[in-house]
Amino acid sequence: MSGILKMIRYSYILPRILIILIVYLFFYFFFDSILRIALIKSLESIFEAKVEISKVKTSFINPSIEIYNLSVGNKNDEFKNLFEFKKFVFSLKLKPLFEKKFVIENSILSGLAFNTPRRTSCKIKIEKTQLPPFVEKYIDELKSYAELRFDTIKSQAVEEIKFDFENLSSVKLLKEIEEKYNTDYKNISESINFDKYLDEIRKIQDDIDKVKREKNFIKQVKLAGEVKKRIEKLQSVLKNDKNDIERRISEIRFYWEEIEKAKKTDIQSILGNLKLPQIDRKSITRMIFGEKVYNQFLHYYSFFNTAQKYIPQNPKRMVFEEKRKRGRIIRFPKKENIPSFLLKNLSIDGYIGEDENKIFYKASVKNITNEPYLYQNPLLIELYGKNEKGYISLKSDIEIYNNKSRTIFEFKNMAFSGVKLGKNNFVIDLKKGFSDIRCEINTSSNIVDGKINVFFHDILVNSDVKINEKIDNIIKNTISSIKGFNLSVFITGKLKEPSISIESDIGDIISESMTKEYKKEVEGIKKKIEEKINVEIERYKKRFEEEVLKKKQELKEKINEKTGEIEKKIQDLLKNIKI
Amino acid sequence: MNPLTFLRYFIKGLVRDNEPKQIAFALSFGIFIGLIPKNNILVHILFIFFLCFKINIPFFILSIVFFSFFSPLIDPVSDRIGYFILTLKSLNGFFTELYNMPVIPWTGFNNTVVMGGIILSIILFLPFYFLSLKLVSYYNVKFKNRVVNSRIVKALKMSFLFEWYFKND
Repeated sequence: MSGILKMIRYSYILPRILIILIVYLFFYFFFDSILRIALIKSLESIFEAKVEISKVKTSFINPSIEIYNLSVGNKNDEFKNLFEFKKFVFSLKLKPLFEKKFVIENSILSGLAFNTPRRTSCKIKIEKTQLPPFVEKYIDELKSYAELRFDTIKSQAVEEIKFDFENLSSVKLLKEIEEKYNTDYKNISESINFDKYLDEIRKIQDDIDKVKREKNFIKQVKLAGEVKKRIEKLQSVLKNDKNDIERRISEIRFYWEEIEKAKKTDIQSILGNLKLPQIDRKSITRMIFGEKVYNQFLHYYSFFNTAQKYIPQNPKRMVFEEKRKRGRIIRFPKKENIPSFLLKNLSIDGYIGEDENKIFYKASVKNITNEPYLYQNPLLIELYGKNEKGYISLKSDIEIYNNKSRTIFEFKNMAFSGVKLGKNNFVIDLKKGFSDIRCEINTSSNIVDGKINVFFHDILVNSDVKINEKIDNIIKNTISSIKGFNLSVFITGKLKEPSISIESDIGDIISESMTKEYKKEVEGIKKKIEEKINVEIERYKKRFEEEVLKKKQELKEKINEKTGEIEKKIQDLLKNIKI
Repeated sequence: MNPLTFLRYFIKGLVRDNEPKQIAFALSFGIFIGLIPKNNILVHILFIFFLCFKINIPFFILSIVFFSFFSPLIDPVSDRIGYFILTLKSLNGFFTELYNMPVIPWTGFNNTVVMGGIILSIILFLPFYFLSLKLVSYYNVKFKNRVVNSRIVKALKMSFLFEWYFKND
């Protein structure tokens, strides 16, 4: 024994023991501070906001870590914390540590609260995460959306509708009638030409003279009879002509029925151009909720992306390439396949909300691992809390190794205040109220199918709309009368590039009230147009009627005068023919 | 071990710890490390463990280099021995336990050449020790004086740097 002791090289062993001692003392005194700084830095790079930790305590003999008063700032709201907790304690199992595996059987996270206020700004200078292309596309769409929709409505507004009186078909018809009348008048006036009668009368007069000169009485009587017949015929033709002209004069009418019809067509046509502003309900919904929904979605999607970074690819698909080694590896059965990180059970308690709406909850998260394919147990998240007003519940069952998950989240009577929806010239300010949320998201083989229903109720709402006075008033009046509305968000498609659609009855409410209001206005305008057309047509009609009557009278007088003259001459002829 | 420390031990070993037994042990210990693959923790443990003994370091290093150079020739034998041992049904339970223990799998005991190399080294240890002892005795009688009195060794021993480097040792 003493021989072996003499053989030992103490000059080699002692410095190494000393080094081990120094390393141990270093870890004992300084490791906690270093770990605290490292944790802060790594969390800041993940959340892109200030992270504070008051104390970190580690133990190596019984490996454990305790983190006290951690708060993570919200990068989108510098005076709010995304979350904070009072204490997080977990013990690592010693044996797996020698295999570079971190296994936590039980851990406790207490005082976890979300969206809490903070005194100092949480902004830090850090490179922003690149947004996924599909999110950038949505945001670009949203930027131009509000203006675009209201420009369309504005261009269709009733105030803008004008019509050209000269182009009205009723006016055109009136003009045509006037032209026709003038032509008819001209024709009739021309037809009142009795020169042919005068010629005939002259001839008859000559023949009468001949009859009178005839000395043969029998012949004279015979000739007188023939002349009399000619006079009677002339008389009859004149009568016919007179009747014909009088018929033509009497046939001149005003075509009022046709004009009335044309007038109606005109009004319909003008009202046809005066369309009601087409309000796309989906567009209104998207405009109001789009940004908020996408921002929220982006917020949670970034968590999902971050989580994905820490989950390795399915090892089933990986080929374990071993370098060309000397010898063969004999594998023995592994009693337990442990992933490199495993948290079997995490108990959480904390609160959600503020003041009288605070809900204290208890939650548990089971089987958190970075190698779900190796540790094939579903990640289970359960949360429940309630107060006298409502409750919150979350159940999630995520089987990453089977590529499927199911999450149901419910929040009854969630109080909110100061929520602003929409942007720029269309802002709805939900001053305060409550919401009932139900969210169900299922994923399977990289396909997501999710539906989020939110019912806002007992709300106090204001709006700030600057489109045009009319639309502003309609929307303001409509929105101020709303006491509750629904919002549904559908998430479908591929997990890496999901499509989001939003539905809400607030779009229907606004659309309906606008349509109702515009209908009233359209009726008013219809009357105005009708009146305007009537006035114009009446004025035209009066002038036209007077003119027609006057001309008719002129024609009648003319014909009477002419026929009177001729009839007198005929009477004279008849007197002359008497033998 | 950094290269400077290694050189220091090597030079020191030229003038110290050169008793026949120390050299024989150094040569015999070298077999253990020389015959097995170097990509496991066992090599490092054995190296540190052997250095804890007052053995002649230059000969220990030379032995490692020598056996490492010839190990590929011996690997087929080591592989067979290792395979035989590792697949023995009677030892299966024992090896399974080891395999499920922390740290132990890092030794690469389940590698046939590692296991075979260790077994072979254990078998060869004593014969090689005695053989080395005889060889060293022969060296002491025939060559030691020549080497110690050689100009190179003398120059090294008298140099200022040499004195300074070892003055606190």
